[in-house]
Amino acid sequence: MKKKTVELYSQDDIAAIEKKRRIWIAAAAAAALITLAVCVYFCIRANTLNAERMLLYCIISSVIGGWIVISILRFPVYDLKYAKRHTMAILTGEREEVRGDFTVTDERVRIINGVSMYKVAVDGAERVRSLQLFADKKELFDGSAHSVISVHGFIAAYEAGYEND
Amino acid sequence: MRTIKRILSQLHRYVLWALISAVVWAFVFTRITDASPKRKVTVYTDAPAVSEITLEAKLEEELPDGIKMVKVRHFTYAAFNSDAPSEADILILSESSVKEHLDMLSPIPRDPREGDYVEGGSLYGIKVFDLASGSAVCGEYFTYTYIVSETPNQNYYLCFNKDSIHLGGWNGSADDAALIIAEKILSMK
Repeated sequence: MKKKTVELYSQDDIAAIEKKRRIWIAAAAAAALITLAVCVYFCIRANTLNAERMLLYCIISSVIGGWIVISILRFPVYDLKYAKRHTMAILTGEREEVRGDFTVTDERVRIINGVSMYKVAVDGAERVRSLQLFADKKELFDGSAHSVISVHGFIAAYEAGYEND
Repeated sequence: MRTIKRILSQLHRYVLWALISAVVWAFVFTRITDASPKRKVTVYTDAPAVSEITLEAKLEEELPDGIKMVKVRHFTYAAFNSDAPSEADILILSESSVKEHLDMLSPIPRDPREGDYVEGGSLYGIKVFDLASGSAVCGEYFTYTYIVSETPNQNYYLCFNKDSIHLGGWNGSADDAALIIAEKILSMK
């Protein structure tokens, strides 16, 4: 029998994050192109009688399309960019074992660069009172663990009992 | 709540984009839909009011060869519009404006009729509104009199810019589109 350690992060995570990020960037590019095409369509359709209306449609399309692009770039793309950095930092960081009772709270915080985390309360540990758990890993983490591996204050892995040799 | 907060944190970007869109598209749209001076006849007026869009559409129903659009510009006090009269081909001006802008007007090589604006024996303006009788050319599109204003009402004349590139043989222009459009205006009640 040996301790079973569940790793919350792996190199596959980075590939998956990068893939998602590329999809979102492609979506933003598609939204920008569609917006441009719609605006050009309104320009082409303009004549003396409807010019003002077409210009208005053009501006409205451009504004809405631009907002969609901004929203994609500022939210999912940025979140994934920093999630990748966070994952890399965890994978390469110094690991520290922490023992105690862990409770994943509902308190969600955004650390620097907007990466979303859940606070994990720790009881009975010597030096650590709270850790943070990457929001995307919440479902993977067994809150009843008594020992976790922490990197820079984030939970990177946990011990989930024992497994047979 | 968290989502709204995040969106609000980007509010300045959304507002900035809306402003940029409005300015850029107003500029680009005008550039795309406008025609070069060679393919455009411009009518400028300082009459109290003109239905610019409907008049443009009416005049564009039958365009002279090589002309893509007719632009009707109305006098405003806007600074960027200050050069509009010099860029126009046809000018519909009040009597005082004709006197003021006489140096930029082309003499019209035809016999003047009663009431037309003649200076030094040359015809410079064809009367389009007679204040005394109230008879008006193109009255459906132009309002020639002020109802309440400190500006006195005047006669109005149709004139041609001597630098127009649409005056045909008058000044050696390649085409006579301004004359065709002017004829159309003069024929409209």
